[in-house]
Amino acid sequence: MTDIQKSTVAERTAAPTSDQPDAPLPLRSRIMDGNLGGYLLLLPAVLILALLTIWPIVYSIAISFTNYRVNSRQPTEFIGLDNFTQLFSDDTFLGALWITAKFVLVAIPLQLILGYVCARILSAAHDMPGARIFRTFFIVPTMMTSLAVALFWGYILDPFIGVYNWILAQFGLPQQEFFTSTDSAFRTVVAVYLWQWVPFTAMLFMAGLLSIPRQIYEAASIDGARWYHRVLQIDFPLLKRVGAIAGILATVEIIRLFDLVYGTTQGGPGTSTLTNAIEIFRIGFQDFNTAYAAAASLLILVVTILISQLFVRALKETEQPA
Amino acid sequence: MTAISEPAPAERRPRFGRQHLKWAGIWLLALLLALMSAAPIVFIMLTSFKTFIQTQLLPPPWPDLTNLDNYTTLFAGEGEARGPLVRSLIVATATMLITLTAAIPAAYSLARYRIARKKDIQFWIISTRMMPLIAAIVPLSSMLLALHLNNTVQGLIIVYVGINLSFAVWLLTIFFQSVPQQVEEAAQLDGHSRLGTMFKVTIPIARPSIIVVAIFTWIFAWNEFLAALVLTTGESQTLPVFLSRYASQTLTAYEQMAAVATVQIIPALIITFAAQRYIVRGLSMGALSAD
Repeated sequence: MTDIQKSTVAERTAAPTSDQPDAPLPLRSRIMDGNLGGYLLLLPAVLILALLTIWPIVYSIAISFTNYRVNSRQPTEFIGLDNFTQLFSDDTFLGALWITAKFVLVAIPLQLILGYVCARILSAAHDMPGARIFRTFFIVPTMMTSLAVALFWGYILDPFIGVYNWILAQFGLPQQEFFTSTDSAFRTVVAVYLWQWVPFTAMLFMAGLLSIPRQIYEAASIDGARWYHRVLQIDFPLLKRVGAIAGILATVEIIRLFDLVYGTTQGGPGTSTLTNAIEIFRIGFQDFNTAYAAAASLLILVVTILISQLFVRALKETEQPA
Repeated sequence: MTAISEPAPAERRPRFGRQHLKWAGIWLLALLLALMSAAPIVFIMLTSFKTFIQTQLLPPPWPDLTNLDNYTTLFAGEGEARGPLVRSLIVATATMLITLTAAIPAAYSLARYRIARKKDIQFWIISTRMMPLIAAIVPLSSMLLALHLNNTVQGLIIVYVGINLSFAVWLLTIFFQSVPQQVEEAAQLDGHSRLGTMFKVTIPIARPSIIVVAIFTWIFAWNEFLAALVLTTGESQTLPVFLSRYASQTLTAYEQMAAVATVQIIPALIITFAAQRYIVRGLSMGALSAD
């Protein structure tokens, strides 16, 4: 074994290594004490990340100019920009993009408002008996498997045997079709999404609220501030940054929304809940139109990068004076 | 319920009824929020003890809680869901261990060593986190096919490690940076090498943060569905993929779906109740320290 190998092995197998800092071998001490060790520590993570992020992008770009199909014996041909021009006239795909955009526009404001209201309630109740248990129950949906959430809400909201319509009937309220009609499927998916993700947003706002010094509120109440003054003049400016982060995280979450739709409506009825993630899955893994799906993926990637840029910019603009 | 917090100090308590009423109102609203989250979960757990006939009845009958038929059919002996369950446990645990093994040294390096172009490397690591899986899943499936790792648990684990790594490195870097450098310098004066210091001093101090990362990595791999659906089938499918069969049945076996769903969400319940502190910390750290 060479010295290099010895040292690397020692470095990987961790703890009990040299207790003498003046080890005789220069390379060994460069690893153990010098900067070379730093690069070696970083290397595995960088390699894994490069393999799993750079390679897919390069591969996507390469095959998006072909007519490659993973299950086809036909020779793959270079077809230039055909996939992309086809995407922009593909009504189903554009429709799926529109549904995702509509989802963002409808769900994000609700998520932020409800998240703030829940955070206010829970932080007002922060020291009351039982509050810890309440908070724990409240946050559980965020940690759960989205697919399981989708499936059990599908049962609860079944128009015929679901318990929800039965409860509505007990109060004399009209029966709902939930996931089964083109009118109501979209808003039902949004509602289940909110059930799972509002607690997450509320947690972020709660962390923000708890970091606002109590004295500010006390001073405000001495000045005779009403509750809406508190909301608009203290909470809103101080939580803007948290709100921006929560909003962007939720946007990214909706762009990749797959499990919830797959487990409830699979995009239907018709195309009323067909989000872009479901549509790419359908193109790539049900139609096996691999190259076309790669082109669509690239488009989604570009949109996500643009939104992340907004994220960075929003953060810079809301930077709080420390 | 061991951990109920103390009520607010007595001197802040007003004597008058109106203030009490406000307190009661807030308490009730908080209770309502907890119930809104908990009620569907409890309902589905109860459903897992029912028979098929009972799942079709309204009002929903109270099940016989000693009826474990759904669980034994699915998970005992030759049960179909047993393999997926074991596989999901392996995948989640392996993902967690490999992610930590790669992320801890990398984060330590970024926090403490002089690395050329460190800022660029950090920015690149963070930016990979924004990549939506749906945009990468087509090439990833082709890649695993080329490596003959399609339809294997190993292939899935590699993808999961890749997805979690940036989050883990990023979070741990922040944590390591918050460990006072003097502590490490003292250890080095005591004759530890730089690497020895990392293992003997910094990692033990950063243990709570490592637990946060471990929890989130494990639960991510346990919950993940899209990659598992594309990358595993039959012999290699994980529990969420098994669960997805109930999404497209014509006459859904809701009692079985409820049993699998219950097993699927139990880790989230255990983790949330046992480690609420870590979770709140992880969620808010992950999101709020984004610069």
